[in-house]
Amino acid sequence: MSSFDPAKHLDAMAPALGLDIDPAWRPQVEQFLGVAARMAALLEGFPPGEELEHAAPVFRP
Amino acid sequence: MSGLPVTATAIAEAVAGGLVSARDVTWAALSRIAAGNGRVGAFTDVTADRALAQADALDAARARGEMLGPLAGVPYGVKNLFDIEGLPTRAGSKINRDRAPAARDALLIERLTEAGAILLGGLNMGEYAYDFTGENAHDGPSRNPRDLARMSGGSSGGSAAAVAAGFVPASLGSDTNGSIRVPSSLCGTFGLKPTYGRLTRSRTFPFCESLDHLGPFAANTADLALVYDALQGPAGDDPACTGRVDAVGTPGGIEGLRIAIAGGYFRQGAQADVLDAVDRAATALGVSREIEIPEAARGRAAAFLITNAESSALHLDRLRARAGDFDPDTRARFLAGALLPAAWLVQAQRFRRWYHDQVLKLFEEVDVILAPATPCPAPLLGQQTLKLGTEEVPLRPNMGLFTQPISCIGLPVAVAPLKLAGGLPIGVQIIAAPWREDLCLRVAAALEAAGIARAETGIA
Amino acid sequence: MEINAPDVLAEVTQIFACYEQALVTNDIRMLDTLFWDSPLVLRYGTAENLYGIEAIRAFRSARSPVGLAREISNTVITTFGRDMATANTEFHRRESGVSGRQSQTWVRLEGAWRIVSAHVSLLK
Repeated sequence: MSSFDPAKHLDAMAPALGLDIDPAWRPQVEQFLGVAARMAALLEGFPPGEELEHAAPVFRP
Repeated sequence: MSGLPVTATAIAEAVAGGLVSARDVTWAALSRIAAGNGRVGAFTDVTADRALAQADALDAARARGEMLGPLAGVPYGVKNLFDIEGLPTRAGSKINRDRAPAARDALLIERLTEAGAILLGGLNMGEYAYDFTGENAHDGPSRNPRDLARMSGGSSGGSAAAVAAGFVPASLGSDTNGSIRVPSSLCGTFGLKPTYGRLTRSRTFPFCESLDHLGPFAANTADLALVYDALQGPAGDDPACTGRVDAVGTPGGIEGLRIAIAGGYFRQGAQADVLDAVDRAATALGVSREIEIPEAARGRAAAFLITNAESSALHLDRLRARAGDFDPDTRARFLAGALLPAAWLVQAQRFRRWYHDQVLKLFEEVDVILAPATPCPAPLLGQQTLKLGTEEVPLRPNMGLFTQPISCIGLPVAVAPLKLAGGLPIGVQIIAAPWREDLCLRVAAALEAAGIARAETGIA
Repeated sequence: MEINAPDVLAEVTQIFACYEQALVTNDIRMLDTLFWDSPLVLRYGTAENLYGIEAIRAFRSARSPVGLAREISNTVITTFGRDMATANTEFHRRESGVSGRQSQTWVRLEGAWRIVSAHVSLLK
């Protein structure tokens, strides 16, 4: 997770979502991507040695 | 107009009993709004004609001898993400002003109308609800009636401010990660975020459907319970709503309740006087036991990712076409959220279910848990950082520090307002097991009866 | 009575900064909010003596927003007990070369810090 590069991620992903991100907004967007990456890192590999079940929220037709 | 009843409970009784007309009560509320809303910024739309027409109809029904509902003549406002017939549903944005006017009121508004309550208008909020400050670039900030130089908190800033200013005795807001509890804490009102799936979200503009809750604000616990009961009912077209009804009535006492203070995570990152307020509440309830909510920091992380990913996906078309029309303070968050890897979101959902199961085990040994609602009292408008001891941290992400881990798993939470030594209010979260809003309200009522929790109203 | 209690001093320092920001951006609403809403408040300005909040409000709305930028220096904030403080500062306007002094008395009223008297004068 320490190899996450917000700028590169933004460059790669934004076109895939059809998003045109103004250069003026980039620093802030990259900052929030960094925050999200840190949050994801907290959850990665938890609990240690186990895998969490129930990947999908329950859908009731 | 002096001499009119002030609380929702008193208004309903007086109007139903013919002692005062709904028109007089409505008119007085509209006058207070006209006089003070310019300074406070609580209301974004005032539906005066509709309100007066409804008040007159209510008075006519009473004159005919008809039975009026439990909230007869009670004026209230709703966060402007609720559909109000004839108005485009703003949701705190500029972009939504271009939407077609709502064809029908939100289901919760219809329910309150049936109970006799009178809608006075839409209330200010942080854009698309991604906010904890109450600031809004398009509609101006909602200000804290306890000190107009300070934030009301958000995203239901106008909802808290309207009640704290004394404009209306009750209001409705929404809470995804703290948006009812944070402004309740900063403005010093009582607030309730019910269990996830309790109140229907039919005909309201969403933020993050996995986490959105709707709920009431009031200036005392009797009113809070009264309004909450009137809101409960079937789901409408909201698949997440269970339609489960557990009427609270007048909240009972706390005898036999096992109450504890949240330790660990919930004792860090808060100002000393905030923790002292939680301790004062605990002492008033005869409580000293601490309990640890496991993995709260991870719970917060999961809620963050779910919120960011889902809400951004919701707004994707708007982000593509009109990113420049977003509030600068929400735009970057939404853009970032649109780019998150799927695996992050799935892991967050997995964790949420595990975390839910772990926390529910706590409720085998405790009924109610107390925690701070915010790490600090109301910051100054425009403030960017928060001082915790000697450390200075960014303000916005930390306002929801204590609320986010709880709403992540949909537990019901009431907020009771205490007062700090300097005079500013601070809220305490009263957390219970799913579907036990009655316990939250009983503890809130006990704090109120002990004179520890009180909502001051008016404009300072 | 405690002088310069750290938490009170921090609060007044913060709200003083808020006032300064409002002044240089001509945020009239914030300036109005931070002055005591009373006929007893007063502000002696560089060219006017204003008595009461209404006179101060009129002055603010009539004031030209041009050339308000300034640097402050030698700011001294002193707090007395929990609810009172003095705030004095020198200021300099680079554009016009003008230097001056600003004195304020702040009081915490009903939980909110407000300016109850102020004096601004220039130094040649």
